[in-house]
Amino acid sequence: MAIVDVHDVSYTYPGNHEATLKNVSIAFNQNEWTTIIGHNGSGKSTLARLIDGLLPLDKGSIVVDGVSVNEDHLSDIHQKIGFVFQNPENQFVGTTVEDDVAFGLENHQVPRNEMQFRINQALDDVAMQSYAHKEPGMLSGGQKQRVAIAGILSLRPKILIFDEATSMLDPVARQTVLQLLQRLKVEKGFTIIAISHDPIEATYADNIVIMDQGHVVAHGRSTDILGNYNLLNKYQLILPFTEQLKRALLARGMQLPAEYMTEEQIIKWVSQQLIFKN
Amino acid sequence: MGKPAINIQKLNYIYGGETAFAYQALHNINLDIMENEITAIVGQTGSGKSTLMQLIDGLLVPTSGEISVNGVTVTAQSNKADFTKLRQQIGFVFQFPESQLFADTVLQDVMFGPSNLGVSPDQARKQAIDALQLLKFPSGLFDQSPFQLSGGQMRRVAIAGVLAMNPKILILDEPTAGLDPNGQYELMQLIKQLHEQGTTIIFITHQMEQVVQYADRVVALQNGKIGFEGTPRQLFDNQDLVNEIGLAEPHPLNFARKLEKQGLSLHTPLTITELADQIVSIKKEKDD
Repeated sequence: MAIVDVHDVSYTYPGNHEATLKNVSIAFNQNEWTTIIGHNGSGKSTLARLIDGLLPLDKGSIVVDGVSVNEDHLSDIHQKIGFVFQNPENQFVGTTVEDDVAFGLENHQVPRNEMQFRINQALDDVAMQSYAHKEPGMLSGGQKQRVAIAGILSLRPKILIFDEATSMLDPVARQTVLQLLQRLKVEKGFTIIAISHDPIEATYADNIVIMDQGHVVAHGRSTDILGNYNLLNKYQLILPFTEQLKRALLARGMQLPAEYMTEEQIIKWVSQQLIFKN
Repeated sequence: MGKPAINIQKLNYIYGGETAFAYQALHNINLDIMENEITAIVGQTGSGKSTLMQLIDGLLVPTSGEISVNGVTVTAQSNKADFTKLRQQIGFVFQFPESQLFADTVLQDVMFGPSNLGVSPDQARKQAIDALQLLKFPSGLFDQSPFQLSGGQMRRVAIAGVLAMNPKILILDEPTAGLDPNGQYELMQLIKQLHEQGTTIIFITHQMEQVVQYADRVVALQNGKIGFEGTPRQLFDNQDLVNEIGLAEPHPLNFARKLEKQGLSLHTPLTITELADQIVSIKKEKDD
């Protein structure tokens, strides 16, 4: 079932001649993780900002969980959607981690007696409970991004939008954040919309959307899209590691199953080929 | 192997020296950076990478020890003029350098560096145009405001501003952070090209794939000390050390470790090509 429905949306930035989004229609399923990939300038961030009402709609309509995105419903929309930006450095206001999470709750007029419970729960969700009284400036990039996510979780949104939220993190911190999101999606039933150009991040998604020059050019299950070499190649997108390895093995005369395989599946398959006699 | 472009001896650095918040960021660093090599600096957040680079660029005063770059030496006792001289040996591209753009046009911004070094306006203009062309920056945008450019274009303008000073040594602090994969590839290709033209390159990175692909040598910092110095292969051959320093392994090697758990034995493949070659050769042996 679609929780976000984008219908025939176009958008031109003030002062620009060319539209950044051109007649985009797309539905995002509830409780699923959809990653939008595409080059800089493909329109992916613009689409995310329109969904959250951060930019005014020019043309077309967007419905989020039954509510039309327009000026009258902005606070409703922001209640439903939590938006995590690329750089956590720019998002801190509190002097401690706990204060920082509290800031969002105060803004949403959450009663004082409920705040502490929500803060604890949100920090626990991102495994940052033990840092509650630390200064945000002292945290590593990955920890900062987890606190930023806690601030958003405490507001209990239904939908999380991540705009290249892991691109500033080192590889270890990135894996931690991605695994955290995957767990939250399952445990809390979130719908996740992620914008990324990281092929590793794409492998976490249930669905993938490819955008190019303001158009949605592909939308499907991740396994179908990530395994489609011709499609990824056409839009000059980087293949996931597993697909790169598969192609390298094919080029060396090994025969592999045609369908997309996760890393675990390839490890199992390769070891079967190499260890056991057929 | 050539001669060292940078020589560091017994270098210590303490932040907030005489205060209660004093914190020793670097401990007794001894290091040679070789001329005409690409050196990657790796290590966890807070390991001292950026502090070390800022010391080499003369932006911080050593607490003790000495740094020599192309014959210019600074110590804790050096005066301002010495640090200025040190700085002139090196081009430094900061993290997110695009946040430092300031001029009205792209060309003016790139000309600022060479003009500051005292070259004539005509010469500064020429050096700026050369640098922008090296970065394949479209000439139609030279007179645009740098603030109207895309993120990737702004990054290139900022780097051009450093290259326009024709530095013999170039330091880049996480140059590809935040760029899309194609932007990352193009920038690393440019770094490779500068190296081929004779520039000594030092870059800080968190991406071990970049270390494997581009670096001749790698220096790993751990809690302000040098945890490793050598070739990328020597580093990744030592799995215990890689874990201890807190580094990730390049993806192909990480994959090989998982295959090893299944009972296969591989020989530290660092790239997909090496990994695929090794898998195929095991298969051949088994089939024969």
